[in-house]
Amino acid sequence: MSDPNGSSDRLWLGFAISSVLLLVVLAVSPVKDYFREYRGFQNGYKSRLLAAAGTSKELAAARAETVRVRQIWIPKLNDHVDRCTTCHLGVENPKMAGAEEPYRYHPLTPHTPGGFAKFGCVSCHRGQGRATTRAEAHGDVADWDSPLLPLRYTEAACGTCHQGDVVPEAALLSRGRALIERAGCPGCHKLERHEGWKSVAPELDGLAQKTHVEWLRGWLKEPRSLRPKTWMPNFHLSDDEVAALAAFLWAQPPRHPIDPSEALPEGDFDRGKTLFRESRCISCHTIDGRGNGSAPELGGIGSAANRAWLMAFLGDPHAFQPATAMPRYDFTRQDLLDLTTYLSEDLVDPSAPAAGEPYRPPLKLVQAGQELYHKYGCAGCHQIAGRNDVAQIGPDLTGIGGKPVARLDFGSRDDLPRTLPDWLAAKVSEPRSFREGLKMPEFGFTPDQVEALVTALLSYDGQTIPEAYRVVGPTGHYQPPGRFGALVRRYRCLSCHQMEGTGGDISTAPLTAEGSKVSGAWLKSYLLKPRAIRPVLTDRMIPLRMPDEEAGFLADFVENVFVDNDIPAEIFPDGAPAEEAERGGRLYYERFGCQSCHQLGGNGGYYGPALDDSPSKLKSGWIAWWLQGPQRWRPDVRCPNFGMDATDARDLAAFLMTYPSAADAVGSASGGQP
Amino acid sequence: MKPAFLALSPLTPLLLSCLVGALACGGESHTPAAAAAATAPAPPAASVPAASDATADSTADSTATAAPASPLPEPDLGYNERQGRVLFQHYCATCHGAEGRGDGLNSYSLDPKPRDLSDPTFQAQRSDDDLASIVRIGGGAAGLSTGMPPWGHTLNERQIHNLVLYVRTFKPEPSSDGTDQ
Repeated sequence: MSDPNGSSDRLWLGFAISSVLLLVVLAVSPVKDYFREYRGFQNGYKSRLLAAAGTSKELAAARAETVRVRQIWIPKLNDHVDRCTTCHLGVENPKMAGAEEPYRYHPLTPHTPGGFAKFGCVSCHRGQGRATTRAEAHGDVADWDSPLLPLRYTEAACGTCHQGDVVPEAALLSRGRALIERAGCPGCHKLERHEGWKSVAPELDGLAQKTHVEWLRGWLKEPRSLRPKTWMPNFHLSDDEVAALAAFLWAQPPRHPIDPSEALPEGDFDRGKTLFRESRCISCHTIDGRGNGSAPELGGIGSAANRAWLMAFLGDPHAFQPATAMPRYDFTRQDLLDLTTYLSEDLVDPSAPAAGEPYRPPLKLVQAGQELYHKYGCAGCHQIAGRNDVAQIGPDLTGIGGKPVARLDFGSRDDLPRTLPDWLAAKVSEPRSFREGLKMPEFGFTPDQVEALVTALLSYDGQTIPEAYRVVGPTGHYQPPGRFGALVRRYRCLSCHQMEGTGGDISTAPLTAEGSKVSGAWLKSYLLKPRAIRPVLTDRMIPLRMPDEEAGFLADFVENVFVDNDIPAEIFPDGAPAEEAERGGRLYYERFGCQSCHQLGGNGGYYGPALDDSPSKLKSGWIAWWLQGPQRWRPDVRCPNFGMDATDARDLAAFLMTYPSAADAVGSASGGQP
Repeated sequence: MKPAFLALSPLTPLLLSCLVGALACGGESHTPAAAAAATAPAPPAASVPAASDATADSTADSTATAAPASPLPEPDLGYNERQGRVLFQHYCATCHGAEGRGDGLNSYSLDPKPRDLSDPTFQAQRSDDDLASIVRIGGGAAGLSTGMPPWGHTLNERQIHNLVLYVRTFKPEPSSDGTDQ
């Protein structure tokens, strides 16, 4: 009878029930949201604000806090969005210093406080910034490409924008980037920002005229057994591989042949020893681990290299190793005879392999060695004159710091946490542990070196950063001109010194404005006979034994060309007035305590340069300029900026430029305080 | 009763989807990024915790014998203390010593001798603000020795803050991990 009506009722009923069900199901979402942890955090933060409110204004502000998702949106930074501040509410509130998480005030960094609007949180910490639960934001979320960076590696994120070698206030990152260069990672791996890397490893031609094959085999087997701190890594070669590689290297003809028939008379051992000490080899090399360490250890050199080779090499290092950082000293033949006698007899390593019979490598072994030379990518670091071998045999590491964990090969390392930093740490410290047959050698890095390397590698995350955020390091490519340039190259000045932002860092004093600082006469005498300027340093200027005329030319060039027009040359054209000098003396000893670091008249500290020769060495205008801001000379100068005014600086300059006469007056006036 | 409720029902899905959309972005969809986030292929929120739990479980199972451990020991210093250490080694260690014991190379020519910063009594007597102030204005201005220069024109406040944090880590007894460079 009412059949159609009845079925229509059932239809309506079904529709109603499904609607209610749908409502219930959909209500799950708001209910779930209502119980989100961030609501609790925000209420907790509000109660902390209320408790800490000291003024009625703060109280009103605390009361006005509402529960809501908070986010930082930065359109200029690749449309960056993160909502970390939904829970981390106190990051910009100094009153929350020392509070428990998630309320804690952010530690001080170059970008905090004050930088959240410009950088957000995820730019530095990575993680899933759009998430509003702890597990999703912090957790190692599967398939999320950018997991939270462990705090110890946070400096890696500085390197996303900061492209320079040295990143200020990111010491670990800077150290890691330097280590990548020093250990020679770019020899095998393509790595962004290191494309300009140049190997400092020696070229390998002519080994047969330098060493004996037993030493070479011992070196290939385990380099650190002969030089514990060498940068040459251990390739864990089998004895057969060692024999083959040694045979191949033995067969490489020298770029600069030595006359083997020349008889070398015995030199004067004692004179050689004195000459060795005077030549300050440890300004670059080490002996038994002591010295600067930028150049190889010399303990045991007498066991590694024969006297004829040492003689020829020290006479002209550039003929054997055109790219070496080592300068060419102007040694006489007698100097070389004496020096090499000392090196061959005193700097020997009794545990090094002894020389055996003369060796003629069989051709088959040479060929096998050549294959190994390619297989292990030796040419990545070591050139052989006349050959053009393929380098960079390792995987391309571009963007390694942002590689998703799913794409990493953990091999047999089941013991590792599945994270990129742990994978990198294990790769760097135990590269062969992932499976059989891997070729990466073992460098013997210490744990803190590994940490620095991982930090640097994580910084190459392949992100494209807008121009406005990019901070590029100094790029110096100064080419010293003409004859000056030829001498600078011969004496390898740029191995230690910097000119116009180019050069090494063994000497901490850049030469760019040296002509505004010192007199040409003093510089010439210093080039001819260098003496300790800062007594505390072991890396000192080396006596290059250059001819008088060359020293004069170099000094003249520096005095006239390396000048900064902002630095006045002479401020006492008629001599420094006695009363200014006397007041300067009191400032020197009593107000600024300069004697804490500087030697003057046989008294004072050993840290700064001795100042006795200021009148003949320094320019008065430079002293006054320096004192009003030493960090303008170089940002990390240790001499503190005293915030000195121009009068004090001028009087101190007067005191130093008239030393010792003004000092006598101060000595009698101040009761002889040194 | 039926008609009133059911009149709504055809609209319900539409209404609810709007409601859900609003809730998904935390009830605050007035910024373009938030709107974009709601529609963008962001990680599927609901499935994510389950997935991460699953992987956590599976790794725990597969390595029941040995828990995964990082190949590196835990760092002993935080970011700020590390930056402080770099500054201390650069500017301070020559007088105060690498371990802060007042025995740096330059201390031998100084009278009075540099402070032993690792002395627990000294550490207890001085507040962080006291230490920061001496670093800033130097010994001379505080009525102490001019041997301690003022660093307030050389270092910024953050650097001084980091230095003080690092100085607080000094311990009197010789430490076994003094392996810096």
